[in-house]
Amino acid sequence: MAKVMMKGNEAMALAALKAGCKAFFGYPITPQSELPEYLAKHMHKYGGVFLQAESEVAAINMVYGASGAGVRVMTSSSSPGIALKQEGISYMAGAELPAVIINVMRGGPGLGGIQPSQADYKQITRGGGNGDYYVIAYAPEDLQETVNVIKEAFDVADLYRNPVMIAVDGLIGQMMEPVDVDMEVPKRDLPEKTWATTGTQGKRPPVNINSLYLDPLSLEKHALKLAEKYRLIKAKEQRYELVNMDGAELVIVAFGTMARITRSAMEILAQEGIKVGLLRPITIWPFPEKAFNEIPETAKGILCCELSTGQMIDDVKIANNGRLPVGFFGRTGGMLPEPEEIVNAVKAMLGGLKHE
Amino acid sequence: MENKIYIICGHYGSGKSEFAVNFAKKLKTDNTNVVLAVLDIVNPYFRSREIRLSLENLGIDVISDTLNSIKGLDMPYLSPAIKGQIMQKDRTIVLDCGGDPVGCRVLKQFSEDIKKRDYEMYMILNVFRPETSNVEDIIAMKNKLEQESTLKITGLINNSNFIWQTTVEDLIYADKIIKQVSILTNIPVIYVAGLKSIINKLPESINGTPFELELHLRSNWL
Repeated sequence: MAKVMMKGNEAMALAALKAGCKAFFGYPITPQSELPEYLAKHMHKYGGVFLQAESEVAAINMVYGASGAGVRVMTSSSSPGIALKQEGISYMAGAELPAVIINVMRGGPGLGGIQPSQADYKQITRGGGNGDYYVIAYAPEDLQETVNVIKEAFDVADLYRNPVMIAVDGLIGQMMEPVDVDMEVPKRDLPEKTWATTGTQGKRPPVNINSLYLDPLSLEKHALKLAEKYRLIKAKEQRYELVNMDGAELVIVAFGTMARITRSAMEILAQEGIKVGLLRPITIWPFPEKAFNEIPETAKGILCCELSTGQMIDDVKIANNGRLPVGFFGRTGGMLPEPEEIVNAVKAMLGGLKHE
Repeated sequence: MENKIYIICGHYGSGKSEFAVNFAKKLKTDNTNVVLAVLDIVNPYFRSREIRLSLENLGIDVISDTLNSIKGLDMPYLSPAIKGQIMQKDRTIVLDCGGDPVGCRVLKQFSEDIKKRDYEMYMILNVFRPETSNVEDIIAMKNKLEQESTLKITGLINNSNFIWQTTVEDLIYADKIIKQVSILTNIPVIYVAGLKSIINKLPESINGTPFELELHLRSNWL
């Protein structure tokens, strides 16, 4: 298939099929319902199972079951639905089960609204459920990147035996864009799933899929093993893009749709002779702390831009480690800023810094 | 051009709403009494109701729902005013349907009143959408749209595009497929639509009258 025009939700569904996803369990919610709708229509052609569960909680536990049986499995939802899935996600992290979970974020808290948002950042990057765990989370900015990271995410989930979340906002789910779903992506060297409950055939001892460890010493050992895995992921899987960093007076940190709006703001600022760089996290967990070492000496400050009241800003401050002043600009509740609003925020911050 | 109903239908994501808005504006410049009625109860984003105020400033009446087109409203119901407008024969009405046969199903409740008037039903086509990429699939889609709406498609619109990345060659490629559909179904190609940057560069041999589109629902930064 060459380049085609697809809606984000459809493209994400097709990317999963191309990645060998063989099972999908989900429950509809705006603005991601076209994703299960597409899979309901097409999954059977790829020899897979599509099932609309009776609830989000049911769906994530079906994902747990399929993953435990060694099957490539996915679920998708939007913010309040992802909140409902947290118990299952924690269980999967505990039982070390791979899965891809797509979160097409909408405004919150609670039922919130149906317009785009990035206000699930903390829920996604701080675990979300109970216990010492993380999910690996990608936050792509356009459909091609979204398709590519979904295809990679199945490998990454299998490699680390951990749930991987794709964190996009409703706009990416709903917009149309040209995309090549067959673009090559890096393949990981994956071990055989010897841990999966595929039947012993009388040839091996049975395996257990479990997150319950009543003996505290065993649980501590398990938690430390997970911590070591997360340390490895932090070292190896940070991903980011740096744009126009050379000689930048100010660096904007933004991901997803906010990064796209920032790019337009940067063009306007460049015309006025203001050099602004973009540090764009592609993984939000692990947060790309390494990228902050590449912020040039010319930078006088960092402006964190988000579709929330300010969630990633805490990670930005940790990564910045007190080096530069950190400012914030955000819109929330489903509102998207015009590029000019970011332009004004940049000018206000630069103006303020000159007076310091 | 006066006193007609224009129904804009087609596959999900083929550009119906952008075309409907541009078409309503074109009809308005021809000095007619124009109403844009939004029948899309499928899409949560990129709906023509979002730009109601700017259209009303141009003198185009917009009818969607009774809650004054709140952005992000996710309630699948139609304004009762739509039926009234359809029965009022002095108005030129553009009906912006939801995508796919399911979006056209909404039309059925109005079909008897529509048939009493002179109507055109345009099928918007983007051959770069995977599900309407060839002659066979387009004709199957056309049949389903007609079946659900109980109305007949009277014109094809070549709206094939990759948004900003569209080339003249893309539209020529699409033209070959859509011309074939036109021959097999005996439905004429009415317009070939595209952004200003390419619409003036199309060869004369291309089917349909060139129709310049301005994007109203998609932000410039997107």
